[in-house]
Amino acid sequence: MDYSLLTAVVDLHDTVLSELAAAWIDAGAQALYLTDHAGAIIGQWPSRHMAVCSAASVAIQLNGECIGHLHLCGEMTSALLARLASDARWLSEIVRMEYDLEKMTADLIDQQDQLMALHQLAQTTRVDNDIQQNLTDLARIASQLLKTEDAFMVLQTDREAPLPVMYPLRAWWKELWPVLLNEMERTPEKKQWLLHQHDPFLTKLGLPIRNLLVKKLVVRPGIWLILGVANKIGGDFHAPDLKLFSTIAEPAGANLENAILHREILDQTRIQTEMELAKQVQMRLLPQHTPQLLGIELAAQSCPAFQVGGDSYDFIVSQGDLLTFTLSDVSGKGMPAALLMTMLRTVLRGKAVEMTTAAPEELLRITNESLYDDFSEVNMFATVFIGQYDYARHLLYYANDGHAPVIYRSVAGPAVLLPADAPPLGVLPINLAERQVLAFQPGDLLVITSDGFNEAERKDEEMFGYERLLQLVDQFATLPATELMKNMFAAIQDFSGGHPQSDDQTLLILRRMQFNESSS
Amino acid sequence: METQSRFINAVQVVEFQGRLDAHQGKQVDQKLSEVRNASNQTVVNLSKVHFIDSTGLSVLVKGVKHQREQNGDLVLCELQQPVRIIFELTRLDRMFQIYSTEREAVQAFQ
Repeated sequence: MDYSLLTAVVDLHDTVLSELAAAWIDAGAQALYLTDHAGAIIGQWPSRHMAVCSAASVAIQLNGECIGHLHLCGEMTSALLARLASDARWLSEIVRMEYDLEKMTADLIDQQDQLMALHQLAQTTRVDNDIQQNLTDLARIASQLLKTEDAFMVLQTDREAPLPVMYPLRAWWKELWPVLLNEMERTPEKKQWLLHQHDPFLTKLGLPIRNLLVKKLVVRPGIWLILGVANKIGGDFHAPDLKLFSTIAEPAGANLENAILHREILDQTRIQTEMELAKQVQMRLLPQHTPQLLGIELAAQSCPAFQVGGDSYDFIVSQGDLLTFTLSDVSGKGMPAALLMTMLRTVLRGKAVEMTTAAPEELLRITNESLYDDFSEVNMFATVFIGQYDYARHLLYYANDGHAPVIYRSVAGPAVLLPADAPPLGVLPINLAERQVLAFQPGDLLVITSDGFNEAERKDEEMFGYERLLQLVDQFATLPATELMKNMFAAIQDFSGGHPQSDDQTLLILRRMQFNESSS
Repeated sequence: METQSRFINAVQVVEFQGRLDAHQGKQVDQKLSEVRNASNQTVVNLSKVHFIDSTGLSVLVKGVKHQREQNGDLVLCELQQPVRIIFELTRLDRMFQIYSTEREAVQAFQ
């Protein structure tokens, strides 16, 4: 019981009480005074009267309990006593109204606090992208709103380890959250737990927890939030607490989802930036210029399906009038293929620059020896075509580890496929490739593409195929190499008709010029 | 991707259907590793496969390497023409034993 209320009423209603006392004194009373529940005087009229002679006193009550007395000095009659009793009731009523007002004000302040906290909750994730900090903020707000000593959150995903936070952090938190997660997994259909004091679960836990309210919500498929409050200040959780808890849980979940989305976008952007850098590195590893050699034309281009890919080509001009050119395609796509492609390029190039006589099969053998174990380890392989063109004698030496399509067209035509003579590099520990040789006549043409050309698809899943590729080469065979290349890329693009490119497309062309043509 | 597998005289026969490509690679790999656990003798029937790309090939290569390490083998049979051409062009026909019928393939293990 709040005994200070009567004192407050005396202070607040001093004028009215003075008028009341004046009426009594006019009617012949000597003095009127008020004592509190302990008998101490808290108001007297006239103020200097030595109130020692109480002729009558009546109790002042609040909610059935005596909180003070109204005293009268002077002669007393039964009629006066009745009037005094009536005044005491009137005073009791004023005290009760004051009590109600105070209670309503307290409720209003509470609600205002809740609104402020809810507003804070809505703002929390907008300013900070640290998920752990967000969770701690949400726990702090939940504890303020529900007036609990403790609050906690556990973010659980199907991919990462759970992220548990508690506000304020207690030593026993590390014991509590695994038990909670266990319990949630044991009863997946249950969405809310309310445990009161002496609940067997709490008793068994043996932690300083009097009562516990826990809710589990799905932030989005694959992500759950466990939200809990414990140790309600001054009692137990009641219906309004449960309602408020639900009100908090929903925006908390929504805000957390925003924070997670934000983080994912950042991660995505970081990956994209890294991929873009990787793409630039990979593009720089391709020859920046095609060699200009007397009597032959060269053209080459590579378009990865994703930012990086497993296709590569290279030109190496070495002593002895020898041009080494390679085109390789690592199985698979994207980053894994790109990593192996870089290794393959380095090994091939390292060996090729030292060669002064044509021995493409030897180059393949050494490269396979260097890379077989690594390729086997990751269950990948690479198809590799190596050509070594003696541009003094116009002889093409080549060896082919599983690469297709390789198209040769003599000046008289038609274009034909040159099959590989060994399986791809990385398939067998020994290399079976053999040296092949072709005498190149003026106008003869070699076109090597990666399988991204023959496997290019239309919307109806029909593939470009080898036949169309051979026809295409026949159709544009007399054009300069760069023109032939442009036409081939354009034909593939026309054929696909907007169907997304699913594999890397790489093309390399070597053409011996006719006598009447001049080097550009 | 639809797959079927059956035992014939301790030889595990697997039948794939459709495209053996980058999209199906993981599933095919999984199926092949399942049958590897059951037997070191695998016949892959490709009669219902009309396309194979480099990812599909690499999964089969992984399979054959693994079986040979276990003193067994993975052989192929009933290749459709477009698939046969890819094996010939890439010379992976030198890596695999290829049979025209499933019966011949199974018998090769006996």
